[in-house]
Amino acid sequence: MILYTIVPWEVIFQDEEEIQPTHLINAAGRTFSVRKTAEGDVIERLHSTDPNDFLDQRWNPGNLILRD
Amino acid sequence: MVLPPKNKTTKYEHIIPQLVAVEQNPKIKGLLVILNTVGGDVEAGLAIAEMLESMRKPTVSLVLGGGHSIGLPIALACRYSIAAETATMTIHPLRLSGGMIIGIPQTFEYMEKMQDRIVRFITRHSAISEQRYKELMFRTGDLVRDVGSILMGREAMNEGLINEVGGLGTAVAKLEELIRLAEESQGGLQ
Repeated sequence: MILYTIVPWEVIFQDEEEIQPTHLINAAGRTFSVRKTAEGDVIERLHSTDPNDFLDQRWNPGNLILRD
Repeated sequence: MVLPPKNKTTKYEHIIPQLVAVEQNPKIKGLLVILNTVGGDVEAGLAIAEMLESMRKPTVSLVLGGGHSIGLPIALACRYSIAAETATMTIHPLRLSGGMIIGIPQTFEYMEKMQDRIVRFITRHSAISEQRYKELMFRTGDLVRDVGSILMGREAMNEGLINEVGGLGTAVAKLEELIRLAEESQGGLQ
């Protein structure tokens, strides 16, 4: 990968091994990649073919998907 | 590839479809892009910049704090770019980092090609010449740990990179003006 940043790469890649795996789930009629946490599923990425879904604040990365 | 989440606050794979939605949604008249970034992934940054430059809707960018590295093409991709007086923009050569680097001459050629993409994008979207941009990019003594230069808002304007020095008020007023102009020209066509 090529980076164009003023941040030194030692800082960017300092604890890469800590990345948690993501899971693919279906919720609210959409597909999400989520990270499982104690509070619930945190959105890592929204998979949708409708661009307007990405303007919906509820599906922003970092938001929680409440378990049914 | 996506940077580790702790180093990343915006996700380009979320922003790209957002821009598609902004372009398609009839309720959205224009887009104000507020930038405060240290830069990052070249492919991601250029993809956002390429999306912005090809939008039909009026776009205005506002750099606050910093619009470093790959943030600069994003700022310039908008139809009108504004930076705060105290905002800084760092111009420096591209760096290859992380992972295994194959030490063959072609690797350097590849890097040069990637660098050229950025330089070409910037010179096409601003008044700066390629020669002057490269001069700033390869300058020594300005950055402590690196080759390149730091430009403050007004310097960036004087170099012909951004259009104007200002703030949120300036940016919103400009966007409203561009929207009005777009609506007028559309009304004239009908």
